[in-house]
Amino acid sequence: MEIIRKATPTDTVPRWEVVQEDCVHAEDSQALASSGQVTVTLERWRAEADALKARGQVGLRVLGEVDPGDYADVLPHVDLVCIQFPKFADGRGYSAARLLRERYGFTGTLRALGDVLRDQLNYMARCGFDSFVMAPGKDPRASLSAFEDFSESYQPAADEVLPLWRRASLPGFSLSDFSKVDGNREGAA
Amino acid sequence: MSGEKFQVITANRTDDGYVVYLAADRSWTTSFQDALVFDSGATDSGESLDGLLAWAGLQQRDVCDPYFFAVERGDDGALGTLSARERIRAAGPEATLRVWGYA
Amino acid sequence: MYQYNEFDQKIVRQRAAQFGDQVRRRLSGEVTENEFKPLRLQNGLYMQLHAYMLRVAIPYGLLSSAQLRKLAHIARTYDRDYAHFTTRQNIQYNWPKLQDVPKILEELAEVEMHAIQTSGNCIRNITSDPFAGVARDEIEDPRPYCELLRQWSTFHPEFAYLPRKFKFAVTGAEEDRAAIQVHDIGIRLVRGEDGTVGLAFYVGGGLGRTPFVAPCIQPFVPKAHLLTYSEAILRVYNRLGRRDNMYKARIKILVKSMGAEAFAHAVEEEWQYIKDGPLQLREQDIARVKSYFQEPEYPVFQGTAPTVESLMLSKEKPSDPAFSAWVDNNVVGHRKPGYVAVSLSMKRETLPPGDVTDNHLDALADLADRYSMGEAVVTHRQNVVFPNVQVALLPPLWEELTQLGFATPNLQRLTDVIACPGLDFCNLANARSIPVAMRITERFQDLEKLYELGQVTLNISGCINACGHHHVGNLGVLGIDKLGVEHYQLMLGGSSANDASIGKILGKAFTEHEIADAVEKALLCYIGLRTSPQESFLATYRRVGAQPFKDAVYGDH
Ligand code: SF4
Repeated sequence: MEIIRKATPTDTVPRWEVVQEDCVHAEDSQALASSGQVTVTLERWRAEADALKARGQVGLRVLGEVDPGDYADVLPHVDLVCIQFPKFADGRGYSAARLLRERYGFTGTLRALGDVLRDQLNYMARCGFDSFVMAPGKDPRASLSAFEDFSESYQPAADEVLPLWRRASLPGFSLSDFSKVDGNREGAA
Repeated sequence: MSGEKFQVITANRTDDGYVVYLAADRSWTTSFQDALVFDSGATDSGESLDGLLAWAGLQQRDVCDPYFFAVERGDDGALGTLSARERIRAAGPEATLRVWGYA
Repeated sequence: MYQYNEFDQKIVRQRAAQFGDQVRRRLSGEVTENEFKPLRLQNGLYMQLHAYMLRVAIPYGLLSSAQLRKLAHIARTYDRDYAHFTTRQNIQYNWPKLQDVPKILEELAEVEMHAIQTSGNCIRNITSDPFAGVARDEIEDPRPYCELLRQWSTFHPEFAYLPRKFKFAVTGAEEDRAAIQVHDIGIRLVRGEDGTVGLAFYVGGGLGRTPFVAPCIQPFVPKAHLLTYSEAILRVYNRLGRRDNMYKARIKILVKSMGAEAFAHAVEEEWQYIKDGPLQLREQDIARVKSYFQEPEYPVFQGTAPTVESLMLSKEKPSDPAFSAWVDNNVVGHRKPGYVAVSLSMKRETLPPGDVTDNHLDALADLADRYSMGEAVVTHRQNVVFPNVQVALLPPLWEELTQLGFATPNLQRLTDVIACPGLDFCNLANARSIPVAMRITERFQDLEKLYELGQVTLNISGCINACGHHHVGNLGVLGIDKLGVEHYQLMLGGSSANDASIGKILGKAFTEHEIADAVEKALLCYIGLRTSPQESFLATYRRVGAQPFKDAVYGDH
């Protein structure tokens, strides 16, 4: 399967690339192969946590509507979280992504699945997604230019610590004043 | 004359959004009176409403969101609309046109 | 007014370029209408009944003369020589060609304007008091806060796909002229106990199918938290608002179903996490934006500044009684001595409410330069305000406005009708609004008859979406569809002022030909019932209730 992901190192242009990656999004009843990247639902994780931790290479797959607080305890054990967008217009996944990055300090791969279209990619990236599987039939390569549409943004989000009005060459601010984690909850995850 | 007996296919043109109707030669016309009329779902030459609507749905470059609606046909063959919406789509925003021209 | 810096400028230009590419892909057939729809909607481009419609944002209604000229140029070059002021302080073009829209956006960018987020389920243009910055009853100018909200909400990545559209209104005045309690979020600048100015948040108001007057969920939020508190509300809404039924998706339904208190609690909880983050505004962040809205340099008058009273007693006053009527009705006090704010009525018997031609727009620009320090404000009642007019210049201004037809002294009178585009244009409409507005106003052209009615508002919507604010008109008219035939419901008792209330349907609906009579009967009934000419239509209705009006309107049917 082809996915879009952040290029490493991150200072190269283009910043995003299309790569081939295999990952099995396992149904709850489906037996897992002994190796290879898989994702499981939260229900399955709850039922088989010990076995899944022992296996490794297991990511979590949740709908955007699920409150990240419901699975914050799982985050230390996974380095891939996939958030599913049943429809592109279902914006709950954007909030979930920001919370994962900014409140729960999740630093692993955050991937958008489902109805993922070119013109949403930029917003998704700003909310903290760093990997995407495009909706069926959509060409990931043709979508890469979406990340170049805008060079500025007003508000802070997962990808930007300061609002534009604090960055716009004004004296009197320091980047180190702020961490990317919510004010009060630093390190709480 | 049954209100639901006759139908025409309509859409908005992609270039300018103007109201257009499917004509007999499969072109799109802005003239309501030139619309191809279906009698209970079929044309005189036997083409079906469903079939042509499906075809119209593929003309994405030319028109947006085609659909059909019921019309009436006077004794002289002139077409009439049955809803306020289609009447105004065919006639334009009359009050505004009167004031600002382009009638 | 606010001036774009290089970043603001870049953002609107990149947006125009991005849309240019999207239009190119649509016209080449690469993208289908279904895929294109959400893209064009994010640029305020609708498909209406007869053509595309482009909605251009006018942040908090404020326009410079240069912007007015550009709007005129666009009407002339790309449209049919006219445009329409909306009830949300925006302007709409009704006939643009798709291929021209990217060019229009580029032209708009030249004067720091755009069509961003004028549709779609996102945070829409922020509206405000048309007298912002000059009102006498103002605690503080709300526009810097509107501007900060504008910047924060523009392309907000988390809130581009909310359950439904989202509207803010902000006022700094005691009298609510921005209808803040019928918005998703209404913000009022208030003075706290210790004298500092903060923000009261009203959340969950709105019109449409289920109209609500918003409860105040937080009476005092420090100014520094304008954005953190707003972000907390939006996040709660984005996560918990209903998405299964578009008629239940507005925040008002969420607030209603949770209860205002529980909702406020959820916001408070979210806010605790983010309030100390970088969205918190520092003194200098607010000060910088405020510096753009500083008072213009008003000339100092020799001796005492002229007042409207002194003008009316002087020989400068035109003898035509229409001038006095106009001053009484369309001119309001200003916080600077020697100045007034003047309302231009865009409502005439012969014109669809809110419509202006390219020549009108050019003339408005020219007048704004000569009489109002180059600024004009579009109001939610679809009129235009000149906020900075010298008292001494009222006579020549009146003369020029009279020639243009914008001096009708009917502000807040029956003929100052709000009307949405209705079935003449709108794809969602059930019935036409414009001809109904024109027919009713035709009957009240006689000023004496009009003034006899006192202050009364008439609002007309072509469908339950309520863009014409029919629920909060003292008289409201709602278009409905009965088996393909346009009908109109009459409701009475609405208000969008401080004592906001939702009007009630009087009885069965009327046809297009009956509705003007029904309105007239209700008004005659009021005149018969009022205790004195000072008792307004609304006060009378509230005192006596609906029954006498029902009897009067339906009695002889
Ligand atoms: S109220 Fe209805 S008819 Fe009027 S503009 Fe809004 S959606 Fe259209």
